[in-house]
Amino acid sequence: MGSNKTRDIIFNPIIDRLVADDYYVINVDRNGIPFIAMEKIDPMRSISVGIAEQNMISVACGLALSGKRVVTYSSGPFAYLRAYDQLRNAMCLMNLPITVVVSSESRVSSRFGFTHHMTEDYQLLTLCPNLRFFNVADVATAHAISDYILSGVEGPTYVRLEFECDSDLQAVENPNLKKGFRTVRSGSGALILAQGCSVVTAYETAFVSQPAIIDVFGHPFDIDALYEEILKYKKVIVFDERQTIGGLGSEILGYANAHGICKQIVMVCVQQTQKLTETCGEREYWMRISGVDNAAIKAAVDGHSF
Amino acid sequence: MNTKELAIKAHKLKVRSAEICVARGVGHITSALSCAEIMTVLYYSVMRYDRQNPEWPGRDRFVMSKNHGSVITYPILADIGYITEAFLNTFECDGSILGAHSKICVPGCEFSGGSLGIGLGVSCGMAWAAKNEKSERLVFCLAGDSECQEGSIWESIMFAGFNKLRNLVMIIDRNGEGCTDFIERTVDIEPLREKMEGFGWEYREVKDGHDINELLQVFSDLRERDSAKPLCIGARTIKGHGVPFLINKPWLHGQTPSGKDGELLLKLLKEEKYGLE
Repeated sequence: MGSNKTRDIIFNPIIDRLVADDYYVINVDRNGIPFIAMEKIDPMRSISVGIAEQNMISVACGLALSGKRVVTYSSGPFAYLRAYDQLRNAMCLMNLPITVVVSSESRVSSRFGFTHHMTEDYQLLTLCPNLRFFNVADVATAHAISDYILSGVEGPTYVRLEFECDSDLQAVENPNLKKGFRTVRSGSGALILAQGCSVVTAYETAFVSQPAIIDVFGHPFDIDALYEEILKYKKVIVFDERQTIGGLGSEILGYANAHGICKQIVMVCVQQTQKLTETCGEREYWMRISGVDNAAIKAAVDGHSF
Repeated sequence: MNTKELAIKAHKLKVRSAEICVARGVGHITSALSCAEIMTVLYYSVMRYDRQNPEWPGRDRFVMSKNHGSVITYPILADIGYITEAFLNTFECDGSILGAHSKICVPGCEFSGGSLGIGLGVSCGMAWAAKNEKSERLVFCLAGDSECQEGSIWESIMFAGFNKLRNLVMIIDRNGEGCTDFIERTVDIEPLREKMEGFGWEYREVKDGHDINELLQVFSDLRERDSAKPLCIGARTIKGHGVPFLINKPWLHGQTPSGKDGELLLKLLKEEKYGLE
């Protein structure tokens, strides 16, 4: 927990191919070993814009419009909050092949408070045209995303890394980017659909029953195939460290509604309360008051049946 | 082209832009009229491009950051031959790619705009790419003075100055008006020279941004400029230039008169003699 493993899986191959593949990496501020290493190789290819997320995305667009392979890196929610205009109206509108890598440092952000919580990136970014969205919860997914970046992304791509959760999940299925989800653990009775850190939280929770866990790490995902899985289970729970409205659960319910499927989906997602917006504490505290900790998912799985 | 030919060209472009706006009753005609001479000098005297190939890699790049002024761009692209003259008549028609804001799907357009404060950063990226390729191509960015109230513009200004992007030329169309009011009554950008120089830019002022000679002079040495700094050209202009009843009325931003007022607009523009004496 709390390492830079997935970040390094993404960026180390880029360091190796920085010049040969004509990469440009733009970094908010100037932190992280990979970026210092890139500067030493070619300072013109490792660009710091300072603490200026809007300019980071704008500069990335200019480089992409000049035919360059561009990857940005920043931590916290500001790449999509402050620069949402640039993301939506420049990068995505022009369908530019830029990879925006964002690190969710939830242990730090729980201390810093609501402004630093990444609880709505899925909601905002999946509305942007042409964008592919990935949430990396483990090293296997990070390797798959790295291969995808190195093969040359075709359009705007957002990659959320989880600083706290870059674990070595022993998933039963390898990530297939086209499909956008994978079974992490087989089970019966209940199915947990999770993203990011919540995949790891569910994986590490000791349940009375043995629920299946599916990591919906990509968007767009094959929703028809996902629904085939959903319909196999009596109880389906969306578990996500994001807010409920407009999130994965809403999307799945929208599909069910459009197809005349009557299926109850339980949402175990971030509840926006005054406590959440006004208080801070350790990550465990944040997870508890947000309603997305082990106890919350355990109660949803092992608690009342319906 | 000589000065007179450029002035005639600018006049024709203004009239044509107004015609396509009036025909649909939409478009930011006042914004287009404030930068018509700047655009004319850029496209017909300063910038390098290939009329046969809008994708020529060595071309200078032009980013219309104050993208609401794009309706002046379309007649230029038609005149160059990147789009057809007849295509101009589809402006703002259902299904047309020629909208009030230009998009990169239009041949010759380098940037999809409509949201202010983005174009200069994009230009920085283009300039950075050209610099690293050791290309001689220049990057021109036309921004509005009111657009300079956006914080992102200043991130880009600081970035370009610090990184000495000498191949970047930012032109600020200083018509003094925003969407609803004069900028001196909202948030003024003065003292612009001191600000730009403080951020590591060279700054040049054009007293009359509709004077072809003055514009030619300020752009005359761009490729031989003995400076490592990016260049900012602040051009004093008049929003709605050439049409007296549109001038000094910032609340007309984004509006094009139609009906009899539209006819009057075209009549006044066609009768305009500015720069032709």
